[in-house]
Amino acid sequence: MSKEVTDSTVPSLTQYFGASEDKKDEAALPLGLAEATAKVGSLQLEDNHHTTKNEPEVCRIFSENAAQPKDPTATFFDLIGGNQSTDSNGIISDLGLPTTNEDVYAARVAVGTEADRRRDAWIPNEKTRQCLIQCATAAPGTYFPDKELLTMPGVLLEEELGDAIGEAVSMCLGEAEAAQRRALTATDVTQDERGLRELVQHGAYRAAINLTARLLTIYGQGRGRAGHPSKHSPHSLQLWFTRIALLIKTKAFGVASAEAEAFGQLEKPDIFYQFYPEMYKGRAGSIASFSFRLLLAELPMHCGKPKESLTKLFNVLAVTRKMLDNLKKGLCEDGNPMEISEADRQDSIRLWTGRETRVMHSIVNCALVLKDYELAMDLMGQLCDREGAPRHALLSALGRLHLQLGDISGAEVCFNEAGESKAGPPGVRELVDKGLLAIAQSAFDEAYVAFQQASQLEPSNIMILNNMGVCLLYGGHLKEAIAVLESAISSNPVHALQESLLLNLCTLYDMESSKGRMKKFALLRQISRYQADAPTTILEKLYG
Amino acid sequence: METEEHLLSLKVMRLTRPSLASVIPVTCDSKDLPGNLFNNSLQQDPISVEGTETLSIGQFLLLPQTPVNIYLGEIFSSYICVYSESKQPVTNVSVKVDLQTSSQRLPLSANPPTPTLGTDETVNIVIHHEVKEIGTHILICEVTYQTATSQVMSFRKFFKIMVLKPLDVKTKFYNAENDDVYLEAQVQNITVGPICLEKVALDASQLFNVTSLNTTKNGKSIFGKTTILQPQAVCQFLYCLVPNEKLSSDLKLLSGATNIGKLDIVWRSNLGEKGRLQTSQLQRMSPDYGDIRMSVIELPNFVVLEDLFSFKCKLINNSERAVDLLIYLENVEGLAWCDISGRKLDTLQPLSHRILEFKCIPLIPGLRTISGIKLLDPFLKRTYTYDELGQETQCSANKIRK
Repeated sequence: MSKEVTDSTVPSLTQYFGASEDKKDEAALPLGLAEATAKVGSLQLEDNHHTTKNEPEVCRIFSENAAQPKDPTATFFDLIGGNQSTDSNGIISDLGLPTTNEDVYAARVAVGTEADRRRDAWIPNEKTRQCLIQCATAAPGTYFPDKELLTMPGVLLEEELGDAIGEAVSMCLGEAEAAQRRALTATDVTQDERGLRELVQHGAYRAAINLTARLLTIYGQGRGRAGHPSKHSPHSLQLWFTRIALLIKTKAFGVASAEAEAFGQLEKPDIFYQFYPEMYKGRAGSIASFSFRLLLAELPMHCGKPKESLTKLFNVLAVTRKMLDNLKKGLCEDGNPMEISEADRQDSIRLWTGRETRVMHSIVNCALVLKDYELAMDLMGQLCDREGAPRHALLSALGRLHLQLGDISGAEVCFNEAGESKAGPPGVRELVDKGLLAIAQSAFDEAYVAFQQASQLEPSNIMILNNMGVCLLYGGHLKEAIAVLESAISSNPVHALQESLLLNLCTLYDMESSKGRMKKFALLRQISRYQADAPTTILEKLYG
Repeated sequence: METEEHLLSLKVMRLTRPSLASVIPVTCDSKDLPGNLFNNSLQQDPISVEGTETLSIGQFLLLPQTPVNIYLGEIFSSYICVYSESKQPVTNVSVKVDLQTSSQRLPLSANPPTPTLGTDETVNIVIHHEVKEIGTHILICEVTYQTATSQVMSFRKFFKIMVLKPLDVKTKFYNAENDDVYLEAQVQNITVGPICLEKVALDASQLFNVTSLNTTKNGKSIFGKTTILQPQAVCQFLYCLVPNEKLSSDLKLLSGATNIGKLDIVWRSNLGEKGRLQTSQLQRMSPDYGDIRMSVIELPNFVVLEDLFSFKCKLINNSERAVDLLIYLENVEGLAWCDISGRKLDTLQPLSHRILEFKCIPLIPGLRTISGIKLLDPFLKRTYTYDELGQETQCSANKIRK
């Protein structure tokens, strides 16, 4: 596997956004999921030496020119498919039998694989490191750490979340209409990880949050368990990651931040494998995934505390860079002088460089929340200069950043440079940028023309239709603006019925006097038909 | 107050700049529990930008959702929509939009009347107005129309707008010895958000030639690529004004030239929202040159210890009579004069000047101030003392060579 990885030249964020096949396969996912689980079941029985056979498939996450996936779930599935890693079995495990599962886990996970080591690597802080050394050196069962060194999370939401759309429908359109709504709830799916994915897949985020609470109860981390010691496993922490991510996605930032508090920055010793020497003999690294770490660092900025996020993100960045530094010095990620093969080292450098890029993106986002444009521009400049960086997209983003703060000439320079980095006639990217530049110069008619040209290239692009609608309003064409936004919705209700477009449309309806209310109810009806979930802010706008 | 029912309704929306909506990028590794689901949903979100999904620098225009302050010098724009809610057609619809400030009433729109307005039809007006006064403004929209029975109906709506001050500009002047004037302008952002200064220029009065000291030799701004001012932050600009020849040759005129010029400031904020301000005429304190004036015109920066050096001064007689002056050179520490003290200078005619050359030997190393020159006017029995005429650095010869 390592060979193939080394061959490919990888833009840094490929582990987040794979080859373009992802999109079209997506619809077939729920079906494929079942097959996938079956496949994992069989994999579980396989021995570690069989791994060589499976190798080529593993690399799909990393390789840019991925082979055509053989089955539609392959891209989604790369996590469990090829990589024989034992802990993937843990992740997919059936939660119905937690105890047996843990046993299987412990036996198989003992050493962990190269891919696991690479992915889970993390440098604990000094206090945690001391504690982990004590754990490892004490005779089994003799070391009991202070309670303050333990992570003791628990579900804080008192009740299950309801169907917000259904409630809005019954309030505005009557019980009869509400009764017709068929929304997925936590009870409609299997009570395990597979069911959870199914809910997420359908966008039923609130229902998925409810299911995570049920599943966490199995780990003794459900309602009312905050502040009580419990063991952590990759699976329980993955449930927490999913839960907090979904709370953020539904903009329930207060709850997310309260429930996340117990985890701190995932720096406590019980978040590391070394804390459980009997269970994960010799295995090192963070049980919590890197995504969880990043999510927790980003969380304060969504709760009005961007400065706190900035500190935490820079901390994550510093550790990431330290690990890259270690790798380049011939050590392991965490500074351990253990030998690793050159190919593995290159893979690891690639993985962590990608993660470093991702953290830098988060810092840019945080700087934007802080309106610290200098910091954002500085980081964007660094990102542009990175090896293999998608310069075209980044320069365009930098241009839009300049526009946002009002530096028109600076934006033009970036857009021109972006245009030069790509051959051929202006594409959607260039035309959209041109339109935005015209808006900054108050030339809304000119902007409209640019968006219209872009729309001819991508007629189904909702963003472009939306931008055309906005230009029409500024030009004094309210009705036409409404028509464009409505056409965007009717052509692709599943994707167009989203927050920002709805906010725009509601604003336009409000201009249309008393008729607006009926039109908003019609929108609500559509949302109820096509969406499993919607943010409460937009629902309030519809019946407010 | 309007109490009667009307066939038309009126809505007004302030058109501030749209913003760029952005996603909260939640991503995960494919090994995480949600697999690619989060990444896919992010990628399919119309708000995210292809290629930079994890950056929240958006491109999706979002109409203004919250009221935004308006500042002096910005353009006030509004959308005015008159909507017919009646089943019967309405005729002769005219919409008059005025802006009442504390001092005047400005007509913003007087479109020709719309002959007929059917059901669900609208009259759309977009107004733009550069606000030039601080304080409360009232937008007055008056709609007049005729019903099917030819009855003339009319109603008005009022919208209050507070215009705030965006910038605080403080200026300081320095009248230099050589008649140049230096202007230091501090521009403070007193809006609530960061702004980008697009242009800060001094439109100098015709009496002066202005040089901006805010760029490097190759023409780049000393403030970097963009001059961003965070709220409450101050940016300082420096200008040098050189009196033109006609002015510098006439001391009376020069002393009376107190009008320096105006500062012209253009800034932009959210997505290019533009504002422009011009200060009133900036005034300097008129310099008092007195009857007899002496100023340094040539003085080396560095001189070598124990080596003779010379410097030149300009002596101006600004009075209406001819003067005969005696010059005295007093000892100063670290410096020895190489001249005769107490000698008489040639008669200086009214309103004329002469260049005097002085010779000295530096004795002690360091920064020294040229002082100790005295002029005596025996007619008036008046002494003019010139201390701190200029400064030079005295150092040993090998140091200079280095």
